[in-house]
Amino acid sequence: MNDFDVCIIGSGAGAAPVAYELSKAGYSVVVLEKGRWFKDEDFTKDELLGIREKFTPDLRDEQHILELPRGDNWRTKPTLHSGWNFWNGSLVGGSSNFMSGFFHRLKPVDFYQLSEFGEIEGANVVDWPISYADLEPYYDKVEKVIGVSGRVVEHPFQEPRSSKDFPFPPTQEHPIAKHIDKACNTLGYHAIPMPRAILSRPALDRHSCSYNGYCGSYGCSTGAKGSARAALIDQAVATGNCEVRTESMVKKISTNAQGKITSVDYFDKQGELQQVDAKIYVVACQAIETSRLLLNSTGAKHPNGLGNDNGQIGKNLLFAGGGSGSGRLAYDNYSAAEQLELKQFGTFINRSIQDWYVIDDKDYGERQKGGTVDFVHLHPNPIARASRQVQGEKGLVWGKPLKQKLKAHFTGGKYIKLECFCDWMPTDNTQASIASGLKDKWGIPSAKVRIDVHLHNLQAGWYLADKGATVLKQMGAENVVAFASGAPPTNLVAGGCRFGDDPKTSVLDKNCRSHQVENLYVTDGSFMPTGGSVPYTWTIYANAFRVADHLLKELGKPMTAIV
Amino acid sequence: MKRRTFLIATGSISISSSPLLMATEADPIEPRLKPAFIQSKQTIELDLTVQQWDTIAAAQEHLFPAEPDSPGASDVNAQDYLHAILADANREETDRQLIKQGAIKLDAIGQQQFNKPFVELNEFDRETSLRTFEQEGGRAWIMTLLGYIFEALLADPIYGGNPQTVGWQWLQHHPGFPRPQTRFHQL
Repeated sequence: MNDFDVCIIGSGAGAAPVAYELSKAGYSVVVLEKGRWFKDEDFTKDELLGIREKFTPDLRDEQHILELPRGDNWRTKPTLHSGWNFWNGSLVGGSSNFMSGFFHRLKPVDFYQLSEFGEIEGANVVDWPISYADLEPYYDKVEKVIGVSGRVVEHPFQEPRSSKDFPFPPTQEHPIAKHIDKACNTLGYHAIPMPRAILSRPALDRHSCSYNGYCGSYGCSTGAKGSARAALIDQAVATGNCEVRTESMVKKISTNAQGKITSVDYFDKQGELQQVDAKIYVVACQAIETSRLLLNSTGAKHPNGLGNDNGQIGKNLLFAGGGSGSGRLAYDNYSAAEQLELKQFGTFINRSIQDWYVIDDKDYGERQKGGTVDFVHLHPNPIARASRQVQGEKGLVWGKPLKQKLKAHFTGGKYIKLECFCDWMPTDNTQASIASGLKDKWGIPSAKVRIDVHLHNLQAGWYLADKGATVLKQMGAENVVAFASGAPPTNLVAGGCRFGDDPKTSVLDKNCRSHQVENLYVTDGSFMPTGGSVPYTWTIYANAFRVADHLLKELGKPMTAIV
Repeated sequence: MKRRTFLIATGSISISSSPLLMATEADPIEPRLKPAFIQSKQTIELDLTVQQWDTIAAAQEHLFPAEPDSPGASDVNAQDYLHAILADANREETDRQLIKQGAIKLDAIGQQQFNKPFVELNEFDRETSLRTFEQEGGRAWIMTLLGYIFEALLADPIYGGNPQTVGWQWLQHHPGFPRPQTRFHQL
């Protein structure tokens, strides 16, 4: 007799749908979460919470090793004091607590990029073992269960939908949206309302958005944001079948002589080693930490790590490619009434363009994958914004010139920001592995993250950023800048345990079960062999619901069903 | 390979955004909790002399001077804020040493260039000294001081700076709500 039917390691967007679905169906579920359980009321809009990294581990206790290219070699450094941080939220609900909730689905073409566009030199592009049609019912489910607000409009890359429209109307829009719509009409682009994982009206036992202006990178104080915590974990626990063990850091997944998982060893809050067992084990610690845990979980049958006979775990790690930009609408150029509109705060811009999701432009080259352009507000964090004003052309700016610069920045105009998403090309060199010699405060070997950037990421990033900039210019924005960036956004991470039909080249099968370990599933973003050109969270949620459906069939009728 | 090196920036970025809070006008915001942390200078505790603290305060005021229509470093309790930051037991000793050694160096520059400690210099000579320090390894010190001045100016008043939300009002900035009722350390 096992302690539980299912043991889930992690409690974020990849973990929570499994906990939610299985506990609702009457299975006993234990969730092991290394972080604490913060509630809505803990998420105040205190900028120092982020600056002091209250919701991520102290890097002195837990850090990563980073490897970046240097000439023909690799430069290795620990992340402490490096300016890099790969932690995105160690708490119940994981980093989904801090997402902006810009929710785009993948497009059908994302599932067969290799077939559609052919190989790209230096990149390991593959087709997915499932199609968009396989995942569509679960995107639909996420709209209803997590709560996605939006409005469907026709545009060249509108993906097929089983529901006509979103279950919740769009969140309130800032007047700037109509400026974007007008500019796009003139340019012949299709500005579309951006779907958001934010409730626009009270529903699902949660409050609606309070439009307080601090959303992305902040926890939600009303429960409107569809974090895994607010939307799923609370409901799973309410069934009485799901137990969340917080401050529980998994050391190792243990296996027997046949290679099957027998238990999970974890450190509890007091640092005592504990053990729990289950019929099924689900790992969802976010991509880097998932690979780390599997690689650390060696056993007689798994000398290279759990389910890693082919050496593929940690390989083809993905971030998000793309670019960004900004422009400023100077208040002086507008009437008093228009200025009042532009100065409105709290509501969302909510505009995207996906006209270049596939770029078919002879001036650019052969037809190929492009991506998404999102128009968003400049983040309101005043300390961070002030800090960016210190750098001058001839050295640091201080004194009265600094104060004038601050005054102009904060009060002289309305900034609009571009965020462009394209595929991060999977390569041999962007990968997670075990760092030699570095351990965390529990004595567990840490992860090493090696990062390489494929030129394709930057080309697509430049193309999208340039297109976005034409909109800003058409709107009359000043100081328009747009650029591609090779730096990986460390909060958008996936891959490392790609799923596929061939056990030689993939870690998981199409149901996200390990090819080699029959009672092991991975349900975070690790499964993705290519990333698509949108933020990952909606796809992670949808896929985890898909795997949960598979598990419901696998497990049969629950022994302890509660009616 | 060299191209790749160029392509990756030296620090990570985080893609996130949310609406900019811009007041339609500077709405009055009620004063909240009194800054509770402010103590007398604990120079022994922090291994900083009164003279070093005076140098730091003078540098803060030069970097962020008060003007008739806007607050300066002392108006936002920047020195006491910095003291609280450095006195935090969780702070690394290297952070404290950075501040201390910078104060010593700045005074040394004043002595070298004008035969006076920094606090006795006029505004023009203070500027010269700080520009010299910027060129001679003091950039991190100056940026650190400015960073904490910005926190004293723009963090929630619960941390002891930004008295009566003077910083937010000056920059017409609206805070998000709910505002913190406890400092992050206590969460």
